[in-house]
Formats: sequence, C-alpha cells, structure tokens
Amino acid sequence: MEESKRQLAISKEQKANGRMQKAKWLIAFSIFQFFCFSFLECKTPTPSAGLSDIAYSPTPLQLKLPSYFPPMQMPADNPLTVEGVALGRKIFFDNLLSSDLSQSCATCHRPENYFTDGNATSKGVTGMAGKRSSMSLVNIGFTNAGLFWDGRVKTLEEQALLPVQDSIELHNSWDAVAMRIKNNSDYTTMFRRAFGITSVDSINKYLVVKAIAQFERTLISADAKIDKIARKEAFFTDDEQSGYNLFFNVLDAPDAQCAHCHVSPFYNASDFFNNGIDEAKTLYDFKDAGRGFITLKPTDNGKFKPPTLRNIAQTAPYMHDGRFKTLSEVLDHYASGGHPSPNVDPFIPSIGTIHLSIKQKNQIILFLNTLTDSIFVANPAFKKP
Amino acid sequence: MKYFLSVILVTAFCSCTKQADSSATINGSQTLNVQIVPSYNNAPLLMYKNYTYNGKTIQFTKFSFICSRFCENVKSDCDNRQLKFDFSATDSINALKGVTNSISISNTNVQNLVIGFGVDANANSVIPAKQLQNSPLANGLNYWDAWDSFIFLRIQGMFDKDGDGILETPFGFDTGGNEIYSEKTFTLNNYIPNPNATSVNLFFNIDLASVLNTTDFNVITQTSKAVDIPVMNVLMANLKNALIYKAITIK
Repeated sequence: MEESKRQLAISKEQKANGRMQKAKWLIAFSIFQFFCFSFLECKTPTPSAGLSDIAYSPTPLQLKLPSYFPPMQMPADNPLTVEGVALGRKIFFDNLLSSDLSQSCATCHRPENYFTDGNATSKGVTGMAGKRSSMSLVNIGFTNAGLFWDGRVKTLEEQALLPVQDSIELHNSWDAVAMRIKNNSDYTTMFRRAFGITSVDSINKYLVVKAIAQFERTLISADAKIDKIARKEAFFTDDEQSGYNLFFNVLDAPDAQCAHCHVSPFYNASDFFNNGIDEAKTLYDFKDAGRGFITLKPTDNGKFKPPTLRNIAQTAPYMHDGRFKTLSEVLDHYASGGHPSPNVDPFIPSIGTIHLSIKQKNQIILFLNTLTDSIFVANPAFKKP
Repeated sequence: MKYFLSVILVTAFCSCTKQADSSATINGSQTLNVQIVPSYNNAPLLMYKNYTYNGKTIQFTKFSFICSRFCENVKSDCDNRQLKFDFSATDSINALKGVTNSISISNTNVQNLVIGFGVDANANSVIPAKQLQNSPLANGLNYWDAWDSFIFLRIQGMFDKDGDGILETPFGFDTGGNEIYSEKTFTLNNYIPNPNATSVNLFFNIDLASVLNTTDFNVITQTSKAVDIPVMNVLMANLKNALIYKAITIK
C-alpha cells in the first residue's frame, strides 16, 4: 500500500517535472521569438541589398514657363528630375509624415483648394490650431525672398524641414519619418531612382525635403484668364478692365494702390509690408510681430509678406490670420484706409481718401477673378498619386 | 623626391594664379566702388528718427534710388548695369557707412564720370522677368506694370502736417518713367591715374533735405500717378543736385 502510494507520488512528481520542463521550453521559445521579432523590427529593411541593381538614370525635367515669368532659381544640388518630382509628390500626400499617421503636407495644402486649406488657421495632429493661415503653394518655386508669412526660411528645402517637427503641426521627428520610409520598399526604390542611393541608410531628412521641394516647384499656375490675355487669346470685359485700371493705377483711374504690394506676374512681392491691418501706437504694440520676430528689428514688426493673388478668389479666408472671409471684406479694409501704426505702408491710408464705390470694389474683384486658374486645379499631376 | 618637387611646383603655380586674379586690372577693366553716404541737414540719415522739415517733425521709413549707365569720360564707354542705393540704416554706425556698389570701368584714367539717375527708356522697355537676375530691375517690386517703367526713386515716411507733435500724415514719393531719367557728369578733378590700382573708391554724399527741397506737404504727400510727373521731375532734379562728389581714394 505504502509502495503504491510512493509510486503515485513519484509519478506525480515526474508529471510536475514534465510540466515544469514544458513551461521552461515555452518561456525559452517565447524569449527567442521576442528577440527574433525585435531583431526584425530594428534591422534596416531588406531593400538595401538590391538597391544597386535598380537603374539610376534620372530624367531632367524642364518646366514650361510663359515668356513673362522669370526663370525659376533652382539649388545646384537639387535639380528637377521626373523621378525626384514623383517621389516628392508621393511624400507630400503621405500621412507617414505625422506622428499619428493622420496628416501630411496636403492636409494644409490641398490641391482642390489651390494648395491652401480653406481655414483661417490650421489644426495639427493634436487638434491645436496654429496662429497663421496656410499659404498657397501656387508658383511657390519663384519665391526667393523668404517663405512663410514672415519669410523665416529662404528655400523650399528649408521650409519642408519645419512642419514635421512642429509640435502644433505634424508633431513628429525626422528620425521616425526616415525609419518609416526606410521600411517601405516602394520608397527605397523611388529614392534610388531619384537620388541614386545605394543604401537605405542614405535616406534622411535632407533627401526627403529635396524631393518635396522638387514636387512643389512644379506647382505652376499660368492658365488663368489673365494669362490668356497676356497671350492675346482673351480680352477683359469692361468691368474687369476697370478693375485692372484701379488695381494698377492706369491713366486717370483712382489709385487703389494694390500694385505697390502685388506685382505681376505672381501678384505678390519680394518684400514685407505693414498693410494697416492692426493698430499699434508704437512699434512694440503689434499682436503678431510678423517679420520683426525673424529679423529682430522693431521697424519690421507688424510686417508680413504679401501673398500671391493668383487664384485668390478661391483661397479664402484672407490675411495672415484668416480674419477676412471674403474679398469684399478685404477691400472694405483697404478702402477704409486701414489702421494707424508707426510703420504702416504710406500708401494704405491714402486708399481711404479716394472713397472707392461699391461698383469700383466689385470691378477690382472681377479683375481678381481673372487670376483664377481652373486648369491648374484640375491638373491630375498635382493630386494624390 | 620627384613627387615632392611636383607638389611644390603646382603650389607655386597656383599661388601665382591667385595673385594675378586679385588685381583689379583685368583685361583693361578696373573695379570702381561708388559709396554714397546719406544725411539729413548734414546729420547722419537714420530711418524712423525724427527730423525737422519746414519747422515740423518728419520721419523717414524708406529712401532709395537706382542709378544706371555709369560712363567714363565719353558716353559711349559705359557700364550699363543698374545699381540700387537703398538707405535703411537705423543706427549711426551703419548710416555713416552708407551704401557701396561697384561698377567696372575699362579705362584707368577716369577724369569724368557720367551717372544716369533712374532707368532709361531702353531698360524700361524690358520687363523684370527678362532682366539679369542680379539686377535690381529683376525685382518686380521695382516695376510699374501699367507705366512700363521702373520705380527708381522712393522717399517714404511720416509727417506732422498739423504741427501737433504727432506724426499722422504718411507720405510716399515713388518716382519713375522714361521722361524722368537724366544724367549728370561728375568731374573727378583730383583723380590720379594709376594703372596698377587694385581699387578706386569714389565717395559721394546725398542730403535728403535737399532732395525734398521745396516739396510742400500741404499740397502733395505722394506721387504715383501720371498727373504727378511735374513733381517727380522736380524730385529727380533735386536728387541730381543733392548728390555731391566728395573724394576719391586709390589703392
């Protein structure tokens, strides 16, 4: 009896040992599996090995520009190529740029909105809104005197570096973006074709922004009615012509002073102006210092870059903070002569003295409508690939 | 040893080439630096500083002009580039430096210098997009679309028109047009020819009070229309007279 009890106990002990053994194996296997997955996750993606086998012969891309457009200045180290533009376009629309995979460049620069977003200010991934309105990217490749409303950076490459890291915008890190791109074989192939990389390790933020900048340089709007008129393919209506005369101060038309800050062919300017939008008793009283925040010169406080008026009828709201919903409100602001401040542009207050009539304001708006390029907005090359 | 000698020879050759390049006399041409220092009633001209004009307070926010067609001795021998002199200093140190632009002359014996004030009809007929990219004329902001002319003189600021001590009246004199362009000859009577000179610096002064001269702010506070051409003509004539040749240094 005691013997059988002892055997039963031994048998139980053996079973328990067996279970323990199994558990040990299971734990060991799990640890092994964990390390395997970790290794796979961390290791640089597979495409590196075959990258050199992919042909690298980028095709130079020549932009077709109207004769009255200046030549576009390109950085010597980032010439336009078909492959570079295609890559930039893919990245521009890809949510991998944002920390939570919810936003891309195109969130605030939508092709259907002429590369603005239709909002006064834009919300980033955390739901917080920035303090300035999203600027149009139309003809942005011709901007040589500073990008953003305050001109804080000079090149499109430098510009594209900023929103990814901005805590209010895409709230991401470039390391994270680069890692996502490196893990995507479509991208690694495209980087090879665009920039000739031989290893995925070469993919970094500087190459990414080069590609984005290349795509942005192709966003050329030159098929508005004003362009057809320049090519002698169309004519102004009488009211549009009157609006043009007011805008450009032609002959004896009352001077609406618009062309001091909005010069053709892009209807913007290479300088910064205080357009009387806010009252300030001293140079230090502006709510938004604008250009002054960048240059640290008090005399630049309250100054902003005049945006392009091309497609302006389609890119409401207006001003750096999107305070005006319609062009009529904008014209009412200028027709009032604006608000006083020490560095207000001297031509702004004088607009108030010419007392623009409702008809004249409408004529200016009709002229501005001739800057709308519906062919541009329908161009499939500018949409999400 | 051979390798060592080769390196020395190549280095020596490179050094010689560099020395030759540093000379300003290249193919018979020479660099001439034109420095213009602005003032207001003989005091350094600072933007956003209060001055007195006709007994009332005035403040300037912008003063710039474009000169073109710098010719030596004879008008057929000109540097046709346009140079912008933009005086934006807000402190005395920079105000006293003024603005310096360089031109290229083909003769080292310059006794007379002709300066074009403004932009002539030939240059006005070329839109900014077709101008040389390093020219101030490539900037559309300097161009008057409806007038087919560049704006080549800007004087802007605020004026205390009613004399109550508050700068309440903005003024802006933008000036351009084919008919406003003119030239003036400066005689460099103390010029010493020096074919080996590395640089020639010409110093000018311009007094903004003399440019405004008799402009009556009770009558006009801006020029940007065709009817303003008589005022523009006066301002440009004043500008020519206000630019005074002071000295030359040759190194």
